[in-house]
Amino acid sequence: MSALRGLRDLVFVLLATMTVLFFLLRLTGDPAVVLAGDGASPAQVEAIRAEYGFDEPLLVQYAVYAGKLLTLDFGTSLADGTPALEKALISFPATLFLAVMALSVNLLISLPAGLWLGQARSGIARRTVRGIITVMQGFPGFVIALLMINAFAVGLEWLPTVGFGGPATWILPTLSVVSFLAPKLIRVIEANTYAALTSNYVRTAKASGAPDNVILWRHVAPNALLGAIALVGAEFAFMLTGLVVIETIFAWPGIGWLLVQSTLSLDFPVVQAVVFLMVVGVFATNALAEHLQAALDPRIGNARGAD
Amino acid sequence: MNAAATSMPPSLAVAGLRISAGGKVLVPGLSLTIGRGEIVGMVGASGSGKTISAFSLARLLPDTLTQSGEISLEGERIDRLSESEMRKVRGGRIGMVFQDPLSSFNPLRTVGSILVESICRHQRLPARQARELAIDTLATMRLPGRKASVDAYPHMLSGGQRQRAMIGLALVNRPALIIADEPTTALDPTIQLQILALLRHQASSAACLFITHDIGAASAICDRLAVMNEGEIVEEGPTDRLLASPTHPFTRELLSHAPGGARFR
Repeated sequence: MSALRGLRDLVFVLLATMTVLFFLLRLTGDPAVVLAGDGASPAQVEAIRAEYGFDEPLLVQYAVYAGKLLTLDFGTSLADGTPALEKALISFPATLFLAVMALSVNLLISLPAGLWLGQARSGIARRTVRGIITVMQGFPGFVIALLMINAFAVGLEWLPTVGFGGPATWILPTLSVVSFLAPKLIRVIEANTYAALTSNYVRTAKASGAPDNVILWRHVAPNALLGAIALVGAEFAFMLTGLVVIETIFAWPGIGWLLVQSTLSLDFPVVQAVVFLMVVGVFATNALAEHLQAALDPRIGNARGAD
Repeated sequence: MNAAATSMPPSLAVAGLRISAGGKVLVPGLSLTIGRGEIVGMVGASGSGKTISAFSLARLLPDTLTQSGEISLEGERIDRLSESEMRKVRGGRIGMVFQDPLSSFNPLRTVGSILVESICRHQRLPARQARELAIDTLATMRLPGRKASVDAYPHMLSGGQRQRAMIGLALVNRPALIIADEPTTALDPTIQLQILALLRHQASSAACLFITHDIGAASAICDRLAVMNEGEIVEEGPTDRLLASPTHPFTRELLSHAPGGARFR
């Protein structure tokens, strides 16, 4: 029932996105001119326009495009003639890999940091960490990325600047992404931890003699982390669509990088295939986060069954 | 009420209990004794210091408040215990019932698992026996369906059922003292009476401190009443005597303002 509803929503969002994208792309420039290249004669441009169907009325082009979309046919790349979806799918694993790595590191940092901040009494250590987080939150990710490249790759020469190779090339992109995702997650976990610690159910646990570690791990942490699942999902969805700048800085061959390349060269089919993949990725991530939350929170699971 | 009480130390004896917040004294010097099987109602308006006085007995005050004074549980000075020794007292020898039973249960845990956690901590029973005891306890508290209640999450129970489970949690390790802080305030009147009856019946072998602003509820189950105002007990005595002929002006005012004051008498 809910899976069907999710699928219906996905189809609707895809239709809307792909439609808007189609008309936006046609506003950006004439692909025939780009395809013909510099110094092509008007006759050559016209020939290309006719070959690719760009001379048809826009609505006819849209109808053809929408029809092919139904069979997941995005056409071929204007740059090299390979199928557009294939090009996007080949780039997707690199983005997914970066997103999973950043998610893991983000969780490894944010869970302990948020829990610690939430239960720490005011002191120099706590104020220092909070200060760092506040400053980090104000920095855009690409600034941190450039600063780290400057420090670790150019200055100290410890790590390669760009590219996608062994583990050494993973570190800077991952840390750049984590640097702007972690502060938000830490803040939310901190606030949830504090709320749980001052809750009545923790008072009940104390009143039944629970020691601090039992209170933290069996009562506070599950409640604090459950409330952060939605944000973790949103951050992961963001990474599937929003790593354009980071991937470009590090020449990371993911879909963000491909999106920039294909947009600059007006390679419409590839842009459309990439955006399609991103929408599906965001939808899948949100659905997963929602199901995870429902599975872990007995109040949600029961609301569907019993009430 | 209990003849044997004379030969034993009182279940609870408090002397010179002082609670302050920074420089501000909230409770200047409270003294109170509760015998075995006795239910003492501590009544007063909100802010009179009754709840913090009760929480201080189990040393459960927030960090912003400091307490001093003698607290003896069955003759033992528990105010001298270390924090780790005090944890054995909490939930073991002192059971507590709170006002809002929904928020007082961890929403992600079954009611039974909260009882089992407490049983395992204080009675060192294996998990299987602890679960059996939790099932028995909830059944004694008249929760429906033996197995169903133990595996129920708090949101699945009604307000009255949650409070019964809370009383079960307070009693499961057979405490010497039960502290019930406004246990019926969040419940509707018919359920209130059932909960009071349950508390009265189940707490018969322990001392019970019943905190309430509802003098009607207090008079329904309490052997004695202690009227609190601005951190001090202004009047104390057997329930019948105190209700029939209150001597302190504040007690008279409290009685005159209690709409349900007559319903239990």
